[in-house]
Amino acid sequence: MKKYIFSGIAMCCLFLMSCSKDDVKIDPIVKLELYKIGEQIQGSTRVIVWGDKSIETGYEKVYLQFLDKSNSSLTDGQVTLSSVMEMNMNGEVMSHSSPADPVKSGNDGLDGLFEGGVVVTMASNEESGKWKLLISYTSLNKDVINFAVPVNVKANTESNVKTITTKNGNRYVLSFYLSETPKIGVNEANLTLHRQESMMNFPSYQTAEIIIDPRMPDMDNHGSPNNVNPVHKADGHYVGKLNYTMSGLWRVNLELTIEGEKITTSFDQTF
Amino acid sequence: MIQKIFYSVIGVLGFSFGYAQTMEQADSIMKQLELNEVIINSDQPAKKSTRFYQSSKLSSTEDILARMEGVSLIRRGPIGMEPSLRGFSSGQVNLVLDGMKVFGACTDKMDPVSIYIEPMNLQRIGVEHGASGLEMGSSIGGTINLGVADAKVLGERSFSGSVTSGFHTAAQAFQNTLVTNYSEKNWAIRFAGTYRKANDYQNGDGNKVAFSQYEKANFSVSSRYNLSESLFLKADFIWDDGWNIGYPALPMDVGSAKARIGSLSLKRFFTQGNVEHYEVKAYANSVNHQMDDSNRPDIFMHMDMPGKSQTQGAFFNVKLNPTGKHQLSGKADLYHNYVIADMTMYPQNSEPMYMLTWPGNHQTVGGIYISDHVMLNKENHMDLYFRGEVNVSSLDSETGINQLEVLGYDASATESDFLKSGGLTYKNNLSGNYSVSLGLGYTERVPTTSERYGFYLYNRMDNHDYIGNPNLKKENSLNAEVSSFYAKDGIVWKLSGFGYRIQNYILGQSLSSFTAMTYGAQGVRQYQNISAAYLFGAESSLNIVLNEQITINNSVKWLRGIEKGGANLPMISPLKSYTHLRYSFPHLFFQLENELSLAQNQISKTYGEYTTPGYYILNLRGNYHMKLQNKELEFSLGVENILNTSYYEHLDWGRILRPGQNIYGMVTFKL
Repeated sequence: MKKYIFSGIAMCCLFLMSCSKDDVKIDPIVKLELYKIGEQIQGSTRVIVWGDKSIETGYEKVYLQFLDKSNSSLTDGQVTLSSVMEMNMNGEVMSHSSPADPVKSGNDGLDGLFEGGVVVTMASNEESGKWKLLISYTSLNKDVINFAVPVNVKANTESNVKTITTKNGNRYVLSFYLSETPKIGVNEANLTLHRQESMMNFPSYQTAEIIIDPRMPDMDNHGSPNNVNPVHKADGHYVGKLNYTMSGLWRVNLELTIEGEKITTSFDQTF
Repeated sequence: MIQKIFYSVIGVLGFSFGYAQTMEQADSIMKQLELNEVIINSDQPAKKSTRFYQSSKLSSTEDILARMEGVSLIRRGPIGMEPSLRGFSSGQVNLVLDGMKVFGACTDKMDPVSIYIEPMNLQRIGVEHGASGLEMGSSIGGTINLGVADAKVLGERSFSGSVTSGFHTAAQAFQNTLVTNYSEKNWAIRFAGTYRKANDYQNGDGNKVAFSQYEKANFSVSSRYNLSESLFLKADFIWDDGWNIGYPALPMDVGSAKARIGSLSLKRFFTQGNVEHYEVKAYANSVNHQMDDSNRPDIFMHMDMPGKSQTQGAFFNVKLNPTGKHQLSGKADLYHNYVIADMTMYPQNSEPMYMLTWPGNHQTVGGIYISDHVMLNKENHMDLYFRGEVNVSSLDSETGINQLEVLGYDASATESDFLKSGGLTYKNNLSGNYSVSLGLGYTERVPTTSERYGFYLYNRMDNHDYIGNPNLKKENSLNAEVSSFYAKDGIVWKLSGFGYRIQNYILGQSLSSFTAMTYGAQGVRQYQNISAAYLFGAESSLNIVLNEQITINNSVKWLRGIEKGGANLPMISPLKSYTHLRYSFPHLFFQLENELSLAQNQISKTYGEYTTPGYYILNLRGNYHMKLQNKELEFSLGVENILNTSYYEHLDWGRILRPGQNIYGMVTFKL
């Protein structure tokens, strides 16, 4: 009886405490106007995967929120994130991964959220492919909880991820995204470059040289001035400046030097 | 009664010949030449000097300007020609309407303000070169002041008016004008309307020039209320609509060009005290302009290019009575102008493309002007003038600022400039027949919206896209002018020589690392300051009254323009001479005209110019007026370009030929 009363009081106390804590914890989501991509509960821990929008092919920033039984955020601990796609090919199940950023801990990250990112190389498909985000949470006392959150990936209307093969037969995954919605003017442009070491391993490639040259195919290849070639910042992310003189269809031409080899490719962007 | 309404009389037009004495004529001709002013629609036939400027009632404002001293027209289409004063044009020239600032709304200069004004809105056109026009605003090339026609208060109830109808063969163009004046004891209202329509015209080679059609309508209302003998109020409004206007020299035409211009003013005269008169005026105007390429057969990509310009302003001017040798006048003015223009392009298979060709630019300008007329003695006088102006400019469009950031500029801050200009004119009556005047001036001007913030504006002449430069420095000009006047025995002759040195002259310079936006363009140029440019030349105006019947008038203008270093400036007219010979009789006159232009070989290939051959054309005009039952009837008939010469002027873009032989006829009824 005492046990129940005690746990009841404890629950109330916790509830009261967590109420105020919850106000603080829920705020960042509301403030950032994030979109829920997926969630899963394992034991007494719940993980919610948030994103800027629903997941589409290409690079997607994700924010992981871990909540305990009482719905308060767990901000301490180590988190790893990777992706896996399970494909059903003629009765055989094959799985492969895709590039992902190392996760920034909750204390460095945004108000109790763990920041990570994935480069999704293809869209989900009812019959042949389903994506899952494999998340492992290691708490301060070394308890490990593993999640496998199914996510639905839609194809981006304009492809922003490609696979490049070098003369040596090495495969690289290249993605392109702008830090903010595209606008007329100076845009911060980002590229991610990862090498496909195996089906499951995609280490970042940090030593590419990139030249960016945006053109408008409908305007006799009119290009904009003062673009800044992306340079490597961290974890396979290259950041530069992309200038759009007007709205419409742009072809962002890229010349990459990977393993000493010059490779040209492009991404289309319409806004 | 109905007759009264439909057939009305008002003041005459500029070419009824008066019976005035030779000296009186000479006097008024002198005044006209000194002031470089043309009177239009005057109602003082008796004191008329011969008017060669307004060749017919069907002339447009531009036709009149073209014949004035030091004025040339840059022609991109049959109307909407841009006035150039001694080689200065666009932002270097100040064009005002009764002191009111009006700005065009087209990035391609298809709508210089003169396109929105018809001569029947006006009573006067004045041109001031260099520093002498500072009262109306800062400029380095001078000022064109179009004086709006007033309603005439006649002290009693009266109604008068005239209707004119005319036809030109070269463009199968017709034009109708109505001018009426209704007066009561203390107030009056003047209403005028014009409708013009022209088809493609035929050139001297016998071919039709495609896309040279136009159609426009204009009406103006001017009212005046005399509160007392020395105080009156005026309210004026001009409404102008042009549509389907072709510009053969440009890749696009104008779908619609509209201007709405209104003002209120108050003027007070004093019979005693220090002040002679003062005037207060408040005004507002808006211009809307849409380019249109839907008629062009082989356009690369359809585009919409609308623009708008809105101006509000007010000014106060005062003239004091002479105190001793001095007579001071002053003016304080303030205006705000907003322009914005954009372009949307429609490719076959992709989304539309959008950009701002003029980012929304707010300009607020305030100025103070002071002048002193000093009577040194009976023979000599001097005019001193000074103007200080503050010009504040800011962009209101996020997209516009972002576009300029792409070019490498931060245009988010407010830009302010202080302009100082001044000058003096000294006049000496050396003898009864002869006087000289000397003028010196220093003037400054801020760059235009296109020059500062223009974004990929296509220039057909040199086939480059032009971009603006927010860091442009002001242009300034040091100028000098010497004129001599001679009047004796029916001969009046004005001869002038002038020179301008312009520092930080704004000219497009190529940017090799930029790619053009316009399909087929050669490259991108940016407006930049070059260290100096020089403009110099001479003008002559000669008027000879041989006898009561015969008058001869000749005017010559010559100009040379070079960059520092000797390269030729573009858009400089070669030597031109206009000669008119008039035979007058009591009700009739004939006028034979000759327009002669030398070849222009001093050109700028860099800016897309070609040499222009010389030419001469002949015109013959006749005019007959008669009284019919108390009403006046006037007939005009004429042939322009009698010889059907195939020609074009150096300032005509695209080497498009001008009209060939043109026969016109015109009838006017007046009460």
